Amino acid sequence: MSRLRYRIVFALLGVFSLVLVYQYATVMLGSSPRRPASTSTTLPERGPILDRNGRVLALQTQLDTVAAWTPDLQDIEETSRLLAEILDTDGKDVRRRLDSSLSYVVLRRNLTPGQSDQIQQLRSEGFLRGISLRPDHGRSYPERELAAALLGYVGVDNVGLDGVEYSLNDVLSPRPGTSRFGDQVFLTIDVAVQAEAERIARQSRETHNADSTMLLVMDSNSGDILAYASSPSFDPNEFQRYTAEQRRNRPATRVYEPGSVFKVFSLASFMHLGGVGPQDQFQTSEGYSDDAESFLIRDLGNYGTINAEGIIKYSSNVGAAYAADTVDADSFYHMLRRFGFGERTGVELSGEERGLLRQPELWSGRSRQTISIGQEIGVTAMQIMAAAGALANKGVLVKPQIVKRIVSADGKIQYETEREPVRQVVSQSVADRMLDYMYSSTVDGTAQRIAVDGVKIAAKTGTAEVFDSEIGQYSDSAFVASTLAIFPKDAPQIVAYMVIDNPKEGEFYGGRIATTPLKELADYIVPYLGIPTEDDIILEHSGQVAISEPRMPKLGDTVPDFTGMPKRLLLPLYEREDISIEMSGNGWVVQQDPPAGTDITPQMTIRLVLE
Amino acid sequence: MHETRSHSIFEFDILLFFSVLLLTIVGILFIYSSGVTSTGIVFSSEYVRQIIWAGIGLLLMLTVAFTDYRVYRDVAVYLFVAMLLLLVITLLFGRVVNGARRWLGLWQFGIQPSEFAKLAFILVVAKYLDYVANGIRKLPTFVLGMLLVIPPTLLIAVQPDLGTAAVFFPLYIVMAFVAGAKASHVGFFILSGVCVLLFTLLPTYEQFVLERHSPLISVLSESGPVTILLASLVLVVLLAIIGRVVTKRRWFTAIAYGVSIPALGVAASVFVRGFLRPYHQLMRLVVFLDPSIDPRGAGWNTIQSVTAVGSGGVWGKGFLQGTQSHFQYLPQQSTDFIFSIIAEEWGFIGAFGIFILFFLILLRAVLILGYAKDAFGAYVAAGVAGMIFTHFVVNIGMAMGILPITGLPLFFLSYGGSTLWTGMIGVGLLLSVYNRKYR
Repeated sequence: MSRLRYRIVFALLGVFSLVLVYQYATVMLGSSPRRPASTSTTLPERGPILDRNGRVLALQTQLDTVAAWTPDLQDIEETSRLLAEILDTDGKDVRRRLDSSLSYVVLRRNLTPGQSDQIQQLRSEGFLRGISLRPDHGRSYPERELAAALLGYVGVDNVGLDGVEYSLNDVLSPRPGTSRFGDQVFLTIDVAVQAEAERIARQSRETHNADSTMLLVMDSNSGDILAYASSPSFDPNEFQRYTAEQRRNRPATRVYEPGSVFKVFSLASFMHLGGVGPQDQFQTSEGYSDDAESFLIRDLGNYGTINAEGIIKYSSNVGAAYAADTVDADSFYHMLRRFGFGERTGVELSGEERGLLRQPELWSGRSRQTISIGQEIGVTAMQIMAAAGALANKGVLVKPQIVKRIVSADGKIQYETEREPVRQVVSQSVADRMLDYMYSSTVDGTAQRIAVDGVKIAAKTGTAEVFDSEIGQYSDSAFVASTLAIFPKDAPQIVAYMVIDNPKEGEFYGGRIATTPLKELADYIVPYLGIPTEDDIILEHSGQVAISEPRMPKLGDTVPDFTGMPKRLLLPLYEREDISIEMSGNGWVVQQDPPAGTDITPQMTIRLVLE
Repeated sequence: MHETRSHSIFEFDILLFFSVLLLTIVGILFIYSSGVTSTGIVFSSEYVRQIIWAGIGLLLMLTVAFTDYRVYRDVAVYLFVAMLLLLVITLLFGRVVNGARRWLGLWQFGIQPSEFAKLAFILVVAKYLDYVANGIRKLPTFVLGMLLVIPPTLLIAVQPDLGTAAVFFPLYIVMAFVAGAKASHVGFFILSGVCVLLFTLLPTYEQFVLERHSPLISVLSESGPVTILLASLVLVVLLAIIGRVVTKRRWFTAIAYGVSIPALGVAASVFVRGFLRPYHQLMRLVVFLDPSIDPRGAGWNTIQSVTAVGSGGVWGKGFLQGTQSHFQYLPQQSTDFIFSIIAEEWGFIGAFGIFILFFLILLRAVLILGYAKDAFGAYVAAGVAGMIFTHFVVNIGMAMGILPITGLPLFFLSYGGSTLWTGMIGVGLLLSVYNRKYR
């Protein structure tokens, strides 16, 4: 080989050696990326979710995960048996999992502290070789099914998958780099009201063998949702065990035809538009039909000639249809949009539906009439709540809220929701009138069963037919029964709405089955929230029991009332040169001369008797 | 010819021999270490087998060392043909391990013929180069010899064992270079080889690492554009050749030379990619550039290996104290990633010691090829040096994350009888050449 080639070979060898040594030196000797410090102690903590009064609904837990490192296992048979006993499961199942891998197997997450202790104990006695415990962050929902639809749930990697856990995931999980604690989220719901609402919703579903029930309660002034019940519910602690339908957040995502409850919004629209006045009369006996007589709208009974109030009181479809004739489709459509139908209410829940409100160009000849009685329109329960809020709020639509405030881990308020008025939907007089009409239906109309002693409740019932897409027409067996209540009628505080989806047992009319649950709710909530009733002995009191520092009465043109003044306060009076003071006794003034109101004259003498 | 000096034991290359011995002992230590779990339980008896193989290997090495290497010149062709037959048999009847058919069962043991094929290849190429002598300077002779690369490469590539298959081409280039092939010829094929690799991997690189569409790279992978590209490159080459013949201007040669390199690269890359596609091997070959795109799949080995190496520090964690290895984070840790364990447990100092030993072996090999009495001996020495060097660079680069995971074992350290014997017989050849340097 030539000398040159020798040199080339040596040079190449040398260069390769240097590159390799250099590479290894930088990786092995540099202060370069060591493995990040053990993560177990610095796991970020997800913030809790609480109700409006600070009751905990969801919190971070640190529970153990039990895992096996299979090469270290000694007696697989014994190990599976012991573990199965502790974990309350089948030994074969544990055995199968241990056999499934040649390295690391996670056997169970979220052990109870008791289970952890048992395993720890056995390990210290020399059993369970190859089995290890590792603290892991999990999410616990101490109230279990309570408000599950609203809360949602969290996956194993501590990421929210549904509900508030999902929509506020960024708030709940710590911001990277700034803190290892997530913010605390206070919801607007009140655990007590929520629990009662859920009890009622579940009871209604069971009594009537319904597919599902919803019961929503809202503070009508602030828009705060106080209860958000949806039955069937699920336990977010073990959400995997439930079907998607069971976990569904129905109040925000279930779109249905509301039926007669909707008449309050359509009639309010017609009245606001000037189409219908309080005195207008409608002859309902013959039913309603268009000129071509292509369809016929009838009532359940014959209500004869009724006025606007009668439409609500008796829930007259015919009356509502005639009333719909008084306005044009475009105006009606825009009023419904102003009530918020066809758009999301904007609560912090993912997947909220818009409902179904078609553009007026797509309306058929009978759409105006059918929409006015709450068919041919799809709504969510949350939309009904928001729209009802407008009637309760003198015509102003207020955005429903589910989040009360967000507080950082160190107690700073990051965000606080306030009443968010959206728009004036109808005039105050129309809104108030509608409440009067609804109240009349509880006196001697469709909603009589709701009446609660001492509280005037405005209510509207509804029984919607359900469109069966399979047969292409409305089903004669599936219904949505519902009732909307606003109370107290004269100074509304609460909007409550009960929906029973497809009751299969007993009756199905909203006026029959959806009213009593609301009465139950009102019976509970009126004393709980201290809503004034007519039986109350009203004590006039400012409500403020402030211990105000009494001030020295001012000496103006007349002698003030000194009664009740402490002596201490009167001492400055001695300093005055224009009047002279004579006090007798100690304590507080009980008598004075001259009496209060006497004109002050120079050099006058005021005598005070103290006790 | 009957000088007795060559038979003196002192002419035996002590330095080379002890370097190999030391590496083998370290290898056995760390094969033991790789078979111990974090709790100190020995679950693998690989080290016992390695000791047996090392013993037999040493005997083989000494036998070869004291045999006259010129014997192999006479039988090189037969050895080579026999080895090809073994490879064919392996493909037909071989044992499938980890999805590849590369083992030939002999009783309860198995051998990997692909390892020994390297030795047969070195011998046959040495014989060819010796036979053509100065003729290697001619292009046809140079290219003809390259045909020897094709059969073993293909037979091993379909096993599939790409790493081993890719070793033969560089071996030929190294040996031809030492034999005096023209630098322009050698350079042409080295550059073409680089082009083939580059053009083969770029589309995969685009797909997995870049993760966005790059029109420049897409030209290589979409059948329409690639045909046009190839056709135009070939056209340019043809025109340049015509220009050379007609005008006799030299710079036409330069154009033909320069353009035919990418042309060859593009053409071969289309073939190679089509060949490799079913094996999902391409991803492995690019993922080392950014292992984080598939940290639990193709990138796993690279990440774990670099972590192991990086955690070693200066002095290491101590023998049997490594965590990466004892928690079984590294797959094939006794073969492909033995060096990662050494680096983790013995630190930079230990790794550096291994480097030194390998450099000593390579240095001795290069010197021996200079001492060689005849051309055949020099070529054999060059081949063995090239083989050890290639394995060393590729394996250690892989452990370091600067080269793709190809699964080439590290001679003398990695677990495996076939590899160990191949390395030891190779060193035996070196010793034999050294032994007879004055004849």
